[in-house]
Amino acid sequence: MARIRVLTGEDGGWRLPGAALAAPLLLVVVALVMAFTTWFQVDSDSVGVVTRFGRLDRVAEPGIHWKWPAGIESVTSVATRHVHKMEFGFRTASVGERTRYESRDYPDESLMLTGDLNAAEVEWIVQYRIADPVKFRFRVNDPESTLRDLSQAVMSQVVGDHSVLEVLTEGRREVNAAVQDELQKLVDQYEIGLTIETVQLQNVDPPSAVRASFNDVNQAEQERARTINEARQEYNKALPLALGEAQKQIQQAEGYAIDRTNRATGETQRFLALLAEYEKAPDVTRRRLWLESMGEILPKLGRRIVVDDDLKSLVPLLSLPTGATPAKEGGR
Amino acid sequence: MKSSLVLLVLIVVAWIVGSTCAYTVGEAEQVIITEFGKPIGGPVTQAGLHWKTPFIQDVRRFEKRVLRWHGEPRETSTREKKFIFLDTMARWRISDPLVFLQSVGSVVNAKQRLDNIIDGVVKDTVSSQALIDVVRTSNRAMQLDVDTVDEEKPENVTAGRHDLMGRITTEAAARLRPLGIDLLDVRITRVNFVDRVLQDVYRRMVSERQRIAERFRSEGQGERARILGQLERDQKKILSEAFRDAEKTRGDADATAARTYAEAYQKNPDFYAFVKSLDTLRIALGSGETIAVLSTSGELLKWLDGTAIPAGGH
Repeated sequence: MARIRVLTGEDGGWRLPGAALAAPLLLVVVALVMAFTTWFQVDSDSVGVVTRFGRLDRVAEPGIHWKWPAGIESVTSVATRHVHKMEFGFRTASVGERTRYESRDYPDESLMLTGDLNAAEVEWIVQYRIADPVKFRFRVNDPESTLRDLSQAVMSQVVGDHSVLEVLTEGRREVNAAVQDELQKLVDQYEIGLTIETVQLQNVDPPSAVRASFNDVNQAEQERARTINEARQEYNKALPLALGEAQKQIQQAEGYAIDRTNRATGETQRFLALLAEYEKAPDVTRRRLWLESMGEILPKLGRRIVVDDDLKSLVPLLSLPTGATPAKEGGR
Repeated sequence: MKSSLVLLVLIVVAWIVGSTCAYTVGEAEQVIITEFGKPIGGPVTQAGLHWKTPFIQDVRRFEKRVLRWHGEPRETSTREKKFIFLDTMARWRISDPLVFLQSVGSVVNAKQRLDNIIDGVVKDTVSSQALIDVVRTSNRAMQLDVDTVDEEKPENVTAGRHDLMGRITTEAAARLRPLGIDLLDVRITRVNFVDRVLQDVYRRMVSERQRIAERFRSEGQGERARILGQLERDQKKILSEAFRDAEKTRGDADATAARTYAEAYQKNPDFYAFVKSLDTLRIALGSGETIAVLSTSGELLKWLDGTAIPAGGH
């Protein structure tokens, strides 16, 4: 517009020299446009698919290339070396030092029926690469959405053939592998031109309505372990005590046995020694023993009352302390 | 100056001729040429540059690639009158653009036809099908909770999902072929119970979990009782064995002692009785409380009398 205003001049009338100038200027512009559309650059993670009049002509590797100008050849670059990721049942909100996920759920994608007619919320990712840029561009309309549909169909099918227990616990690896296999098969069949790198289940949870009771099962399992451990602990605490008590009883008995036998041996040896001497002089020894004993006993007695045989009624004379038993020394 | 003007005019003319006489067909396209709206010749499917009569012929372009159809989730009931939501997808292609142009006209119209036909076929087929055949594909042995009761064990699959989808595809494809549409396949992307049934499923799942949780808890209590019982048994065993051994040791010692005593005392029982009596007296009368009444006629005190002093020798 600016150019036209200049060419038309202040008075607004057409001037032939101006119009004559316009033609070469336009040519220059056309030439410049041509020049700028005769080369293109392909990034290092991509390839450029070049079509001439709409028809596939060649696939260009990364770098700078020439092509016929606008309208004749056109280029679309396809990121073939890049690994793309699709998320199902959740969305990454931002990737940073700590990846943040959107807080809302996508039950439309994640809630599905398992083979035992229970429900589970399944979140997963699919990573893929564009293996064949030509197929990717020209065989399927909207290949990414197609892959999305297929992933969901395959996941729903595989989860539909597993029990909720398997999907939630040990079967995850198997589900990953089965989905990846089946998905690759379909992608090949549809000629989408993709390679499925990984299918990876993320969070697989019971539906939120029943999650509490699933947690309760986990808690009950913990409780079971705790109860058993506590009982074992009690056992381990009480048993050594019993063993110690048993040892104590046995040791005490052995102590008694040693004591008993030693005393018996000692006492009998003393007796035998005495007996040997006694047999040499029985009368004297017997008397000596008796007198020695009396000598020992009599001083220890509380009261000693000597009574002549002629005294007939002894008892009234004595004021015996209650409870004390009179002992009568009868002699021989 | 003049020559450049001529060149410019030439370029403009070339551009006009080019844009009316020539047309390009992309790799993803197929084209029908119409003359005043009437199709001329067959479809052009070869990509590249093509010629046509200018002004009177028009180019109608159609997708050559496989197209995606995604149905709205539909509520359907199965043979056993269980209400489910089915989400379906399909792949289709314009197989005959000429027929397609005449019978459908545009992709938007085609999607409407697909909606009607596929939804109808899906509904018809699924309603005569057991739920398990919609959900499961095979009779693969699934791992279930150990105490799953028999009523809750899944039924066997007779046809399965693959077969179901195959039948749906065949039937819908047959109805779409006259429209120039090639239906490649129909797939179920999602099966779920409708909300009302889902609540029942949740209730069942909750009660199943509660049963399992209870089992765990009572298993814990049972094991605890067993361990404590064993503790009591082991304690009793250990202590009674100890008592038994201790008593035996004591008994053996008593026997040994008795034998030792008997062997020794048998050598002179009278002397033993005498010595032992003296010992016993020493112990029995040893306390200070005892009152002894001693007779002067006794062995010891007879000396006190003085009459008993032996006369001999003095």
